[in-house]
Amino acid sequence: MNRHTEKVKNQTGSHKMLHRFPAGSKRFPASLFAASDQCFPINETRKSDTLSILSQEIQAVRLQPRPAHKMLLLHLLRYADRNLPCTHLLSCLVMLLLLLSLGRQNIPEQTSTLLMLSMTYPCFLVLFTVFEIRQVCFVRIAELHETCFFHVRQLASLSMILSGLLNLATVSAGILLVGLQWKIRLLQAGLYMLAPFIFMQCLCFGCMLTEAGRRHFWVTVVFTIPLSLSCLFFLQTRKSYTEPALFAWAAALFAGIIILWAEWKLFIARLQKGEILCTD
Amino acid sequence: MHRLEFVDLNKTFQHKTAVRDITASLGHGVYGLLGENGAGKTTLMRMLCGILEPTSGTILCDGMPIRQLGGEYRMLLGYLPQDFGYYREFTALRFLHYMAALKALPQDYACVRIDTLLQLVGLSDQAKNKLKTFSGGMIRRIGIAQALLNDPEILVLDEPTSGLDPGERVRFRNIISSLSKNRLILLSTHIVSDLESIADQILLMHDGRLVQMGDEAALLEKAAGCVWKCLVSEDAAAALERQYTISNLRHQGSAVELRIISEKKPAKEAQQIEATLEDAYLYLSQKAPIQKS
Repeated sequence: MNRHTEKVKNQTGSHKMLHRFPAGSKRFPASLFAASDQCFPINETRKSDTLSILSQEIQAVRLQPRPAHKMLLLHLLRYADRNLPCTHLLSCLVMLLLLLSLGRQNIPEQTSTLLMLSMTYPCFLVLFTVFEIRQVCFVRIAELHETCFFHVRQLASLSMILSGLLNLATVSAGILLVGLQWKIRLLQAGLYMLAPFIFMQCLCFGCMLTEAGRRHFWVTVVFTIPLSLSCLFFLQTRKSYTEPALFAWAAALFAGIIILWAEWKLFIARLQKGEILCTD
Repeated sequence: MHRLEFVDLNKTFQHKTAVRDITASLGHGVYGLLGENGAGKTTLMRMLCGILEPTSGTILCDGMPIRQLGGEYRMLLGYLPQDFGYYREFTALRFLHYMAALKALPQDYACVRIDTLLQLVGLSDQAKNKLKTFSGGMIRRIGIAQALLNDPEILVLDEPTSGLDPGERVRFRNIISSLSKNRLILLSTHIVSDLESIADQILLMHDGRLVQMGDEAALLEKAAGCVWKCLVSEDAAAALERQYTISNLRHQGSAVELRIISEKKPAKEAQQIEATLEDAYLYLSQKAPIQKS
């Protein structure tokens, strides 16, 4: 702000003071100030300069309207890297096609194969989400992202939302397919698919919170394999799919959601500190 | 025009204090941040850009903490990082459009601005080529173009001339000089000659501290009378090297010509000479206390 503007601000400030203490007030003899102000000669050139500078500044503010957030988001999606989201989308379609083709064959012996597939494939999709978030936060350009209007935390959240929505839509379609084709209750099928899916997310975010996990994607991949194997192991024991076990599945899902929420908050807090972005 | 203030700024990483007790005030003009590798220049710049959170102290822009200003402050900012990251598969044009979208610039304004900037950095004819085909110097120029996209009033350039050939460095210095009017430009370097011609003020950093701040003349004055030149034998040169800071050493037949930084006369045959900015930098950084983390 230049000197002229500052002066005008100061003048405006003193006028406010005068209004706060009206003329005749015992606490602030405004009339005295008004009288003494008359003694000061007003430089008309400076007055007009100040006015023109002020009007220019006001005009400048008016001339730069920021586009609506929706437009900005569309621009961003238009120019952002689309290779990974497209591969992700393709993988989701492949999963649904696989479930559909297995369902069409309608062979009762394949129920366990279908369950196994429907439980492990969403876990595989989580890896895409993690990779997409990595592409925003753990690459050299992240430092630059942080200085833009849309900063890294917003971009990471956007990735998480878009990728998560895609995964959830796929899993929901999968639940419908599995439930309808094999006459399993939707709630039951939902629990069987969502619980490993959420736990996989927890595991991946847990990895991302560690230095090694942030630096190397393979650390995340290596940690996800035991989870997939444990899914297969649970599938072998029939007790896991009895009705009383459903409570355990529901509890696991609920706990997973809470852990995931806590991990996400922690992750965003660490991003805000900035040290994650500057690990190179 | 905006004013930036560092107030008791400190940044400590797990085992290292990168920035210690920095207090300074910057108005418009070109500020050169000079210091050896590891002096804390990049950390200071990252804090200024809001990437890193200070351990203690604040950075104020026009009296307001930059963390509070948030998006409004980032709209004023242009930043070129030391390790400039980019998407290799993007064309120059798409990359700049992507950055313009991140900076929330309206589409029509971005188109005009990108054309202007590509011309400014001399890459108009390469606009549709992929960044992976660009040389180091060209990538640096794209970096400068992206930093200028939002016509920033505060421009932060971290080692902008590293990796540039002499011709490109001169070109870059000219660009910076042309931008310096009504802007605050902070550029860091450990190449003293980069600052000599363009910096209005030089901030000298050493071991995380701001050792000195002033214009070139003020820094030279500090080192006045502390630079010596002498021609000695190789054995004597080795002895002097152990004892004093040597800013230059040149073999002349069997003798060695030394440029020595010292407050007292280092040798009988030594002659006092005029200090350069490099000498001043060496003198002031050797005078500054080194603290353990």
